[in-house]
Amino acid sequence: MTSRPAAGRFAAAFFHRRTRVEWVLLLVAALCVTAVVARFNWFERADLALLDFAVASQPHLAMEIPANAWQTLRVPELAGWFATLLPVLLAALAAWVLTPRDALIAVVVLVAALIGGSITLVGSVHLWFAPSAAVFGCLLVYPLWSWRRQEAALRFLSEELVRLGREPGLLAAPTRVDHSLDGRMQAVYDMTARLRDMRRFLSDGLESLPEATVICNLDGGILVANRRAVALVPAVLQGINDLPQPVGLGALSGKGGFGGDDGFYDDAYGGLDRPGLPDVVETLFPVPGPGLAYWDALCGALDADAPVMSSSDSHGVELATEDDRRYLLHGAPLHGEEGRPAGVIVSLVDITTVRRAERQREQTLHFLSHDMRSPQASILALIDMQSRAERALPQPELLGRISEHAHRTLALADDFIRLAQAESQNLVFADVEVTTLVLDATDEMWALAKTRGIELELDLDAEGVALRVSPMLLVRAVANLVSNAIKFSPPGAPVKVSLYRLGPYIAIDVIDQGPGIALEAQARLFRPFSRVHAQGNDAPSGSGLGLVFVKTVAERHGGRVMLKSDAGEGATFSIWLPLRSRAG
Amino acid sequence: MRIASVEDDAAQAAQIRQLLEEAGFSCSSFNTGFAFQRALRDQSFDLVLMDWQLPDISGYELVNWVRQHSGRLPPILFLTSRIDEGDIVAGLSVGADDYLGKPLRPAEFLARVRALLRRAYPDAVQDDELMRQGSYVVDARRRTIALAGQGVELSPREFDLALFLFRNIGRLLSRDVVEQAVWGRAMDAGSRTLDTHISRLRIKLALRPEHGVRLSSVYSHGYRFEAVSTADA
Repeated sequence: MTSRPAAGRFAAAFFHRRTRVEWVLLLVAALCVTAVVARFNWFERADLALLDFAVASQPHLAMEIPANAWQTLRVPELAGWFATLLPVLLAALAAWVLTPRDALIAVVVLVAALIGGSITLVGSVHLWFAPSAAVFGCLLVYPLWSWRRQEAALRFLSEELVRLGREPGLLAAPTRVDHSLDGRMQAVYDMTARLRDMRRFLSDGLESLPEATVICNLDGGILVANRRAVALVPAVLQGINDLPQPVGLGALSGKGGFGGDDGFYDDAYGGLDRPGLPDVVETLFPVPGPGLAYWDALCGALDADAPVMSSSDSHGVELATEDDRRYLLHGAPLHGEEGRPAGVIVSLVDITTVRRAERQREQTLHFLSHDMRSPQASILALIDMQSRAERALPQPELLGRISEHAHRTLALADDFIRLAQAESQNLVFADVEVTTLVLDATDEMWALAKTRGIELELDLDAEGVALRVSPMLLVRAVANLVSNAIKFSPPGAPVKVSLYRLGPYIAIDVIDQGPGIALEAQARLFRPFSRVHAQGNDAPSGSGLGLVFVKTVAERHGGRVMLKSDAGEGATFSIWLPLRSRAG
Repeated sequence: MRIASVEDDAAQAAQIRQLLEEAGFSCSSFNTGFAFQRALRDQSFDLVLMDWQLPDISGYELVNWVRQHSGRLPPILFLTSRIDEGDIVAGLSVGADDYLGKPLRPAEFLARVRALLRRAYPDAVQDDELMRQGSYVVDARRRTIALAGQGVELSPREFDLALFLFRNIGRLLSRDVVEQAVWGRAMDAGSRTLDTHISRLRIKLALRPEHGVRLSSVYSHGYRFEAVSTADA
């Protein structure tokens, strides 16, 4: 992991140094050739032609100075050398620094300046400077350097192609490289196409990850978020992928060898202009503390430049949303080319169903180990007592008590199974009139009401409204509420059931005049196996699952259960079902 | 009337036999589906009671088998301890005539048995011009229904439906049967005409246990209209 980037950096540095050396050699060669040309005056004829031209174009010169006197009017030797070699140096520098086009212009300008300067010199101060050696040097530097430059570029491309070809994870492609320019350009084109495919493949991979995933920089600023992440917290992440990517992102895929060693992720943004992971955590979870602490710990581990963390080091942290969905916040560092952490990839894994399954298993165990066993134990105790004549109960009482325990077991089992059905993944829905549902439920409870001398008052005002529901579950839910109301009502006090439209809902109210439920007890009411009322001889028995069932059924239909009550004020339980689940 | 009872639990089988014999029927018990299948080769029964969960053969297969071997009769009443709608729908769709949940409630059980027998073997053309049931008096000739002596206004279609229900008290009626009898044709699966009429009837006639009758829905199958003893609580 660490040797490859170092090799890459070395290769890049080597290229850099090699071109510098080549340039220096070229410069020295050009200067030497120019010096030789100037010393032996190889281009004397060109110089003389130029001089003739200069003199001929300025007629007064010809009269002032005899033609053979020019040899004595030469510029001083040192200045001559200087004026010859300096343009060559300038041309080489221009070729080194400028782009080929600008360098060509620079060379042309230099040549023009040399010739023009020479003519002007003759005219103004009557000194002669022979420019042809310098012109020759300048003209020599440009093509030579272009040749070296192109060679270097081609060599660099070939070697980079080979290096990229060795990169793991890239799909293999024919590496046969034609050494012509066209061939190499084709090879570069192929390679960039492969890289583009690769990038697309990876970003598609991120996009289609089954979990909400974001990639952050080390400050927590979110760089990329996949579709699921955006859907999870649209308020924060909407449009995140359209923001310009900071240069820091480059650090994730591999940082260049030269340039600053650090500071590649802190210059483009201060962490404020870009939504951060803490924003996501705070928006999504009402209690973000553990999530933020986990994030800080993760960042802390990265800053300490700890060795590469394996994913098993971090188990993530579980967070609950407002609507009680559970998410596992889980992060792992991303490493740049040098093996140093360059960012963090963070997933929010939805573990709601896992937690629900766990809760159900706990409920089942609780149910079997306690609720289901205790009536059986009571029956055995009764039988045991019966075997001793002095403590035996009269037979009718014994049978009555055994029957009570058996019924209790059955009722418990039924409640438990119904709750499991309501929680099951596949409910069977049918179009049913709500009025029918309520009537079925109240008819079922009629016998119970009668034994307790309670009248069931019905106020049904939703004729013809049919909803798409699971009828058996919903009838049972309403029946549970009515049965509770009857059980907790004082004898003779009526229980009222009303059905009416309420905005976008259909509401089913069950109103009793019983003891009511204190506000502080109401939260516990919908938890499994909790009984709010003190257990006494006259307290109605129940499994503690009835209201959980009602709540589950309402929620499975997209509705909710409302409770209006306080100690001593009776209770009104309402099931609200959304009208949008209306049939047809 | 000879009734076959297929029940693997000895105690429950004994209970069923005792209830039926006390009511004047003769009852043979079989503790496995295969034993019952063997017996059906050389005996005939007027009614079959079967547990939905037998050790050797599923209730579904057994109902299917009976229907293929002896046609529409004898009527089949299946007993299930599961409160799963799926079982009930499966049983009724494969040819069972009615179902009962366990544990058995003796009065309900006998009422169901009698209703099934009455339906399968009508004694004679009943003279049902004037029917009394609970607090209701239904006069088929004058097309009126009175609840506790007070006449109730019904549309002709509603009256037809009410009359059909009162004539078939105790029976599990599939939607098709009711629609055929009252509208003269079976309606589309999505149609809620029947349901609308039924709930209107329930409200207008106050068809509630306090008036001695009870109408219950057997979802995705049909309705059952039955008599309830006001003392039965």
